[in-house]
Amino acid sequence: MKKAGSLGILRISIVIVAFAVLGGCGVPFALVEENYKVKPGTLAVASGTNNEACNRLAELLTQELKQRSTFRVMSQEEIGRRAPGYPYALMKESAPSLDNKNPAWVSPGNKGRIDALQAQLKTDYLFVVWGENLGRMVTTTYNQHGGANTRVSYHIDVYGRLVEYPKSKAIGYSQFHGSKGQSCCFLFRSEGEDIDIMLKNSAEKIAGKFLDITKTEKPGK
Amino acid sequence: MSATVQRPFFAVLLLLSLTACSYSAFTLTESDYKPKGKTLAVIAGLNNEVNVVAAKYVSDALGADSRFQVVSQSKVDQSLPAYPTNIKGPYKYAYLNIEPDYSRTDMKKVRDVQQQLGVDYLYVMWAPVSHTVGYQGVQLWFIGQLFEFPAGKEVGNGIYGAGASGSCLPPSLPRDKEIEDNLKQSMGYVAKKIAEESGMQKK
Repeated sequence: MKKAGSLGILRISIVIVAFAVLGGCGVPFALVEENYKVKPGTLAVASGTNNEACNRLAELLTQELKQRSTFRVMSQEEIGRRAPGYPYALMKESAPSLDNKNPAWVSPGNKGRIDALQAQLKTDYLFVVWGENLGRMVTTTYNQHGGANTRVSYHIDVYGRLVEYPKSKAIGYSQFHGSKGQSCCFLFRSEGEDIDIMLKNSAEKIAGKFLDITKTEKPGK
Repeated sequence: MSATVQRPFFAVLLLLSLTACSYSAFTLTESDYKPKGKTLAVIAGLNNEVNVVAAKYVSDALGADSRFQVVSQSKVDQSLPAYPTNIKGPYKYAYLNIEPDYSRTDMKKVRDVQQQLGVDYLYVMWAPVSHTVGYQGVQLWFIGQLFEFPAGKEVGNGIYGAGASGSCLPPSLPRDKEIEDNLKQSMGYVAKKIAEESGMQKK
């Protein structure tokens, strides 16, 4: 009886921890100065670390903002034309934690690379997004009868910096944990498809908050 | 065997045994294929450091161990003004693993590269997946295609990994050095497979 009880507590604890992790805690998008006025104009979303997940996140966020915002959003192809070699690693130094005094802080090295890219793109805003720690988590829970239930989920830490020009000032940021459970086998989804969905959800999450805060949503959307 | 030799050796051995389970580093698309040309260049398909370094290792090993006349990476660098650049690769997804689709390669870019180099063969390799494993291990996944010109036909392909475990043996090598050594050995193995499968190994 005691064993069954402790197993039950263990199971509940795992569920609580899993909820906290999977709940997507963090900040999808926020401005450094709450009432800062973002002016409509041109915007480019840039991939910060040149890996598949990061490049895809930039592509998906570009699509979202193109469809839903009043900004004139530059396509990823156009960025590639104007900045030969793009995508390449812009964010070589890690981001600060959210409890930092300025969560939109960008290291001097990263800032130099962002400014150099903007000089080629000449947009009013550059939104750099990147993901770290993309991984697969296998969680096993046990019931009081000794049976086990194994679940697979995918995770990524998502970061973003919105930089305004010509001031060259980071005015907004994103930092949150994206996740998705493995799809049911009947859906015949590959791991890549599941991760792609997780990235799409992350892009939608950033875009939703961005449009809400900056009040740049297209009318009727 | 010294610890310096042991560590990369075991890491590569483990890696290759894992890789061999489901992937092959290089196989011909037609089993009775016979090479018609001799000159070959190895190209990094992505503009990232790992990809460029790995391409150099494959190129050096093919130059040393095969009968292909391999264009050096410094010559490739000089001949292609925008090298390295991103060429759309032969995969649908490449997040934690590579899900191959050999028809998705940007053949226009591949042909452009061949025209500038004027070689009979291009071996294009991509390193889209790099993730940490355990405490400080690194796992890299590669996918490569061998094209024959002037037709631009794919004559071989393969998926392979390289990595470094980092923590299980005494830390006699810095982590970056270990990764580099493992990468070099793994790419040497890939070059050997390309030479053997295509019948171009040194006699």
